Formats: sequence, structure tokens, C-alpha cells
Amino acid sequence: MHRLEFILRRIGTSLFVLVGVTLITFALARVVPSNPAALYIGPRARPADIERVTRQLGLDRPLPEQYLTYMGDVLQGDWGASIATKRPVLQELGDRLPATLELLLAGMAIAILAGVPMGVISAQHQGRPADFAVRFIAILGVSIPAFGLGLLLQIFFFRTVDILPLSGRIGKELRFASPIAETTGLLLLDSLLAGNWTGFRDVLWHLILPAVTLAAYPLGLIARMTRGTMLEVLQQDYIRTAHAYGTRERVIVYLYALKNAIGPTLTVIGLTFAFALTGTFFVEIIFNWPGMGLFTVRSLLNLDYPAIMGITLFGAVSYVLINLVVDLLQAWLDPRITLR
Amino acid sequence: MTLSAVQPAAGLPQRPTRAMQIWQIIRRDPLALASLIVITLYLLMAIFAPWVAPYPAQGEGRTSAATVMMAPSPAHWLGTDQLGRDVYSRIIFGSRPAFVVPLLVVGLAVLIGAPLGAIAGFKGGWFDEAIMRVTDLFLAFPSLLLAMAITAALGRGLENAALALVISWWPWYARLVRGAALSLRERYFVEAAQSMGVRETTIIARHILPNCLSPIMVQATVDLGTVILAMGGLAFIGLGTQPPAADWGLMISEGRTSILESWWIAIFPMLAMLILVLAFNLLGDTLRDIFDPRQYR
Repeated sequence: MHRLEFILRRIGTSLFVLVGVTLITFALARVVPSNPAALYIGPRARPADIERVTRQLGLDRPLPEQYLTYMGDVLQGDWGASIATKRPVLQELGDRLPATLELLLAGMAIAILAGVPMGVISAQHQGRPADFAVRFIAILGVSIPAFGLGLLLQIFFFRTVDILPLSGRIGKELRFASPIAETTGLLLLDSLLAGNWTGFRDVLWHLILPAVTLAAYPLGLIARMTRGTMLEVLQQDYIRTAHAYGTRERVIVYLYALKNAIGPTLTVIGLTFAFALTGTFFVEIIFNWPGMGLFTVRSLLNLDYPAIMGITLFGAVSYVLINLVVDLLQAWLDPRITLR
Repeated sequence: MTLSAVQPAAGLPQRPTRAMQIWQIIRRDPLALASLIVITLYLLMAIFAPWVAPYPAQGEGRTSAATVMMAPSPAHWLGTDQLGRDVYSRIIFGSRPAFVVPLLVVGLAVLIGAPLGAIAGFKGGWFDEAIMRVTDLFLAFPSLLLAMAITAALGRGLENAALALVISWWPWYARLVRGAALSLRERYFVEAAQSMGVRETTIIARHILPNCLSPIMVQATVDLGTVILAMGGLAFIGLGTQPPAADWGLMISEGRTSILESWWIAIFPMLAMLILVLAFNLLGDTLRDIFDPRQYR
């Protein structure tokens, strides 16, 4: 009973936040700029155009009415058209989503698969060299600017040792030699499904550097959080009891302790998705990755206002949804949460 | 008898001030001490930039056609960029925005967030509810994304980027201080003040806020590093500091186009940024160990 109530309440607050988010993007789009119509036309706005767009966007209407129309449009999937490409913003974002998603998932996978064990090992060997090494890597990860790390990796792995490609998602030759049939847009998955091994290898090779660059920050946060909670859990009585029973160390640490330490780490993972999302912007510039980040940055610089607002809304909505999923996951892992 | 009469008798050891206690701990922690020294050196470098930089005019943006993209040498320790400017001098001048902006951003975020959080936590009720829901909305955005959108709405440039970061940063402090105020509210000294009829504003200003200083300080130290990275990111994209001013993020962006031939243009500013952020993070870690903010949860 409690659990259902918790889930419903949590979904309710998320809906409230989503409505509030549109209020902020609305304010940024229509209220903050001194002449929103000019922004919607772009740098070369003529007075006649401004008048036309003012009427078209309903900028001469009272604000509450404007907001309701804005909300209606957003809900119906009309997020405006990009100034640069003249295509609907939602479509532009949708086309670029798979590339960014592939990068994001690969980066987060590296961060989680490396960060959690690193945190565990660090906690297990507190005060010893392994602990110092992990803490150093973790703090380095959160201190290095992603755009700087990307450049460093490019210099080393492309210029110095020349084993990984410089940038892009797939090699130029490959596009003709063994093109990848796109079904999901996630090229790694597509090439695997098609059994295209040359393609798979090429895509994987292109993915490594951007994914590692993106992973640095989340990895640092995840490793630190895991270490902190593991240190607490390992001091608990039930762990000592398990030791007294002669349970194997590995079982104690990875089964009994980690299971109880993973909760706060999950929250951090949810939060780092936000960092990773903006992190992809920088990674995509550095590695010329054809995703939403590259589109965002181009829109920001060209003052492609409808596009910028669409991206902001998209980022906030996905962030709210990710945090909702993380909270529900946590309630499922630890039923006590629903009682709070 | 007045209160001033109750002073410690001469000869008794004075109770060390909080600043002295912190200093005692940092002094014994080599990493924290090193971080503090690094930060001080950077600060001196920022203040005395025109005197420290070998080519102060180039640091401020003057170009030099005769020395374009030269590798590091005794004349130019860290090489020169595409416009012939001495990278070392540019890094020194770049430390100015790297210090001023984060201090300003974090300072303003604390000034806005802390009082709101303290009032919310202390008074509770509808005000608390309202503040918390408003922070919910701001925290629903990835903070750098919100800052980017605000900068785009206000127009690009250093001042607007800084303002945008303040707008997306204050809710964190409101949350932090509210949590601390919630637990302080139950403490005896606050109850005592209340029972003596001290005004609420006085209680918040004299008793709640001063006792929230440690968690704020821990968070602010780490945030100084984070804001340096965020500012660098905005400048890297082209929304922050505009050329020809010197800014590490901007320098990395300028050096990116010729990264394979002239790696020094981008890599040295990156290292300058990394070392300062690392110092703030290490110092923040030590402070966190001293005052564990979790006690306020």
C-alpha cells in the first residue's frame, strides 16, 4: 500500500516539476529577452518581419494567454522551427538523439562499471596505496575540464601512438565499403545486429575516446560516493557477524555490503546523467560527433532561439524523467524508502 | 553585573578561534597545505598579472605577427598562439577572470540562497513550501544547460554568463542551509532565544546563519572549482569571455583548431585550469572531513 502511494506521489511531484519547467523555459523564451520576436527571426530581422512574427507567436497577447498557447503547442509536439535549418526543432533533436544516446550510454557504462568497483576496492583497502590511487583518479576526474581531457587523449592516441581515430563516428572508407544499415541509430547495436564485424570494430574504435572523455567526471563522482558509503557499511555489525561466520571476503563485500551501499550511488548516477548530458556538448565539439551537442552549440552561437529553447526543455524533461526512474528503482531496491 | 564582566581570567588559555582550529588541521595535512599554497600563488599571479607576465600587452590581447605559433622556447616558455601572443602571459592574465568570476558567482549564490534557506528552514510552513518548490524547478535543469539558455537569452559575454551561473547556482545553497536550519531549530540555544522573546529575524541572523557557515564553506570551496570549470565551458563554447580578453576556456577553444601541430596553445591553459580546480577540490575534501555536512541531514 505504502509503495503504491509513494510511487503515485513521486510521479505527481514530477508532473508538477515538469509544468514548472515549461514556466521557466517560457519565461526565458518570451519574457526575459527585450525583443523576443527579433530573436525568433534571427540576426537579420526587418521591422515588417518582427511585426509578422509578433502576431504569429501571439507576443501582443497577455502573458497568461501566451503561456497557455505555448503549453498547448509543446504538448502537441510543436516546439517551433529552427532558424538555421527551417525544420521543426523536435525533428532536428530526434535525428540527432541516437548519436548522443550512444555516446551517453557508453560513457555512463564506463563510469559505472569502473567507478563502482574502484570505490569498493578503495574502501576495502582504506589508507593503503590502492585507496590513494583511486582517490587520486577520482578527484582528477572531477577536476579536469572535459574539453581539455578530450584534446589530451586525441594528442596521445592519434598523434603520438596512432591507434585510435581522431574524430567522427565512423571511418570515411567504411561508409562505402561496408555501410551500416541503420535501424535503431545506435551504430554499435546496428552493426552487431547486421553481423557487420568490420563496421562494429570501426564504430567501437571511434567511440572509445569520446566515451572515456565523457566518463571521467561521472566516474570520479561515482567512485567517491561508492567509497564513502562502503566505508560506512563495512563497519556495521552484520558485516562483522558475516566475518565471524567465516563467509568469504568477496561474498561479504560484493554481495552483502555493496547491496546496501548502492542506494546513494544510484542517486549520484541519476544526478551525473545531467552532467553527462551537458558533457556530451563539449565531447561532441572536440570529437566532431554528429549528435545533439554539436547542434546545441551551433544553435547557441547562431542565436537559433527556437532551437535553444527546445534543447533546454528537452534536457530538463529528460533529467526529470531520469531522476524519477532512479527514485522508483531505489524504492524497489530498498522498500524502507517508501515509508519515509 | 554586565556581561562584559564575565571574561576569562588572565592566564587562562584563550579558546582558539574557529579560523585557528581550521588552520591547525590544514597545517598537518600535506595535500590541503599544498592546495592552499597553490591557490595563494594563483591569487598573487592574478593580482600582480601586469608585473609577473613577461609580455603584459600580449596578455591583454595585443597581437604580434612576428611570433606566430612558436613552440615553447626560452623567449616564450609556453610558446605562442595563432596571433603570436605569449601563452604564458595569456595564462597569467586568464587567472583574473578565473578568480574573480567564481568568487562573485559563489558569493552571490550564497547571499541569495543562504538567507532564503535559513528562513525556510526556521519558519517552515507556506514559505518553506514555496521556496522548496521553486528550487525544485531550478534544480530540474542540468545547471550548465540552464546557464547556457539564460546566457543566450541575455546575450553572450562574461557578465551575462556569470549572472546565468548565479541564477542556476543559488538553489543549491538554499537547500543546503534549509537542511542545516531544520536541525538547528531544535537546538537548545535557539529555543532559549525564542523563549526570551528574541525577534525571529534576529534569531535567523545571529543564531541560525552563523551556525550554517561550516557546511556553506565546504560547499563553496568545492563550488569555486566547479564554477571555474563551468565558466571555462561557457567560454569554450563562445558564450563567456569574448576575445581578445584572456580566459583559459577561450584559449583552449582557440588552440583546439591547431591541436595536432601546436598542442601547447590549448594544453597549457588546460593544465592551469586543472591545477587550480584540483586545489579547490582537495581543500574542499579536507574541509569536508573537518565539518562533515552529513551531520545536518
